[in-house]
Amino acid sequence: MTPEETFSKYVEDSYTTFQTVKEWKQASGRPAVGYFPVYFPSELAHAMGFLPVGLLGASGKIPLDRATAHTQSFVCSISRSVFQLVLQGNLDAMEAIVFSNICDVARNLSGITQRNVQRTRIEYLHLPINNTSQTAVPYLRSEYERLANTLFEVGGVRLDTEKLRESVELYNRKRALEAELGMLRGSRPWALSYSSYYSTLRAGTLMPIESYLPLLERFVEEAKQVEGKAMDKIRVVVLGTFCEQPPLGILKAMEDAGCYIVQDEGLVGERWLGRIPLPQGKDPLTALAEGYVSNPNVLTVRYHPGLDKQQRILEKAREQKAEGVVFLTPKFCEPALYDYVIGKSALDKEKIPYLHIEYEESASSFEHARTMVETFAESILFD
Amino acid sequence: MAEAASSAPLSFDNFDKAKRMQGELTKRYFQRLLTAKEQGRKVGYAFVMANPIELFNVFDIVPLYPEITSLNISYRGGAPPLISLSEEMGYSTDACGYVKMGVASVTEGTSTSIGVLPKPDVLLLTFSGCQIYIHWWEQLHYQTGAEVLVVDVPYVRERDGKVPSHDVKYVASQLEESIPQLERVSGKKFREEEFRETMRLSAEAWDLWRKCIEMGKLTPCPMDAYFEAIYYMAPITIARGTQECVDFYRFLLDELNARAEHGVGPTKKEEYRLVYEGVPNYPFFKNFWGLFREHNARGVAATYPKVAGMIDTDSFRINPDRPFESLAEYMIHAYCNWNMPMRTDLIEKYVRDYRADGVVIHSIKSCRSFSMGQGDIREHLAKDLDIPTLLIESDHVDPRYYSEAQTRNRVDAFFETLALRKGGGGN
Repeated sequence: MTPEETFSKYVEDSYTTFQTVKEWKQASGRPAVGYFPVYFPSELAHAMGFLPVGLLGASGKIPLDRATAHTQSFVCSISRSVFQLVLQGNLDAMEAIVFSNICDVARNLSGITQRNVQRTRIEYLHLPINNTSQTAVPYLRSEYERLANTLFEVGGVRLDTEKLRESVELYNRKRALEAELGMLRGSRPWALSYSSYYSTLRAGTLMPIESYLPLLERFVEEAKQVEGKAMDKIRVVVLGTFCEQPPLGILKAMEDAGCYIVQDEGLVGERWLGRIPLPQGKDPLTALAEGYVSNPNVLTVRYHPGLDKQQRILEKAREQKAEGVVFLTPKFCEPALYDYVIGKSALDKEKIPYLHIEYEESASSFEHARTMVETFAESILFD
Repeated sequence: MAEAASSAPLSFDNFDKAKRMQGELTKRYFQRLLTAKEQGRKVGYAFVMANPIELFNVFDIVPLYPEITSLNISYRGGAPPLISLSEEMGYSTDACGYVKMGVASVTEGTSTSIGVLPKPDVLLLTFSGCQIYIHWWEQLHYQTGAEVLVVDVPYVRERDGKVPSHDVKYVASQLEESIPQLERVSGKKFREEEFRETMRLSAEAWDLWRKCIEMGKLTPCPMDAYFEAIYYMAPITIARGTQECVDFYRFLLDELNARAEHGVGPTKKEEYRLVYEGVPNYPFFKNFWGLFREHNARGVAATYPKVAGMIDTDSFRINPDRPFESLAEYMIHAYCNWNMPMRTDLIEKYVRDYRADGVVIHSIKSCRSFSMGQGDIREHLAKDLDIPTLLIESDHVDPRYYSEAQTRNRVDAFFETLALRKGGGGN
């Protein structure tokens, strides 16, 4: 099986069945922890013997009938489909599920999930938003300690500093390789289709890191060898896909309609942290907290009073030599919709073209989006 | 206690003066706000839910609550032009109406039905109970250039309401850290004695307000603890920490006691006792209230009036001797900062303690913080506990989402159910 085939197998399994998780648990005798996007300190769970599993929605593979009775029609699809998976028992393989403060919907979802599950431990992590305050790092470190206590209660293994150090280094390696792939998309986007790139990243939210890393290394090396040929397409940065997963069909339609997606926010929480420096003697839990708090990159769901989001969007477009920006936002996703207004006003001032398209994870027809993107691409190509 | 309608025909107006007093107080607040800049005062934007406004008091910063200005504008029918303007700016129909109105209100050249709102000198971002605040304040920062002062308030995540000690310490430390920034913005020095005094007045008002809302336990209930409480909750938000606020609640408590003594209330008689969950429908407020009032239903307890503070739950008590910590505890225990199981348990407790006949959930599209998961609350109340529960949907400021005929049908059907359960016929 090629790395790509393995990645696809894991991704396919993660829509509803999580069979690979069950098999891993059976073989290892260890627990699994599911986490809702956007960011989760997987290193911490890994160091305590858990398999961290990204819960990224059912992508339209199941009806949402039971979730609909508990949530309103104006709630985003990923929340409803994850909740449906919970109610149907598809997530029973997880000993714990962790949510964090990305939006009000995810926050309340943690509560109604807690009320509707019996065996699974529900945890909610508060990631600081006052990231210029002196108190933020010690606070987040305390939160991570609290999470570690919960995982200890569930899995029976205490957090060991040395093991955490090893886990951080493993995840540093993962993020470095994923960043290489990201850079490849920026420099030679014709060498790697978006769907291959995406499946590779998504498999990283599901596979045990020990099995994932060698395959990822192989995949990155192979991708670097692909020469391919540049086509007459516009270079776009895609923003807004940081939580609910867009159907791959919509991104393929964008590529077919004349775009190279040179940078995007798909699974951004997985790679956003970059490298966490771990000099000798440094407490790895503090380093993990600093990695989140001090990160200079913009993340829609992490407010940072010291960062200029508008400026960063412009810089990103310039760095990527993007000819346009596509705001690809999930239906009903308030954080993405508010950032769209902030982003568009910056782009308006600089006269950088942009397009706004909404999606739902379950969408299966992309003709409308394709037409919009074609028109957008042509307007830039023939300007 | 006998109903006034069947014994002494006292006019309800004689017992309804607190609302007028609230109206006067609100008018004075708006006057102070709209003239703040010309009087050399600084204006700080703040949220209703769990704000440390006592700190603003010390620095003589006039608070502007965009939620309150928006609901007032909406109540007076002024929402549509502001919502249209925000949608022209790029806001989606799926975005929160408060955000849209708030952003449109400070757009250059915009006048609202309550006047031209002053621009912020500081944006106090107390993230408590609503994550959307962050995005709202971020936009206001880009729009007006005003600096943001963040006090990050963690969510109450344990089902039993226990708050980790590092949460309280974190919030209290940030409050202390905010002092130099407030000194710089206001040009005034922090005066600890003044802070303690405003905290003392705040505590006094909270105690009185608690006594008022707990009168909902009486039968008949002397007030509507949802629709009337929405008027009554204004002073604890806009004038907290002042003598004026204390005086208002003392007056209100006397008035409610007088109502109880004379057996009068906001409906001719009390046929149904209801608990309400959710934000009201401000553009059609009186019409919406009327749908319940005509069935002689009185709200006996409600969650919404507690967004300004969960005073009836023993979760916090303002203490001038530990000002930062007690303020932090108050901020953490905002209603929407409670997890959903706690919110569900609270409603269940209200039904029990206030001997209610049913629960009405008004779910608004704008506010996911309130609304997401209200279906789950209904499932629990109706299916697990057999409490009649009505869930209706509209919006708090956007009139496009309200249909009176449709809502009336649902409300009337609900009362028929309640009547049957009480052993009588429908109305």
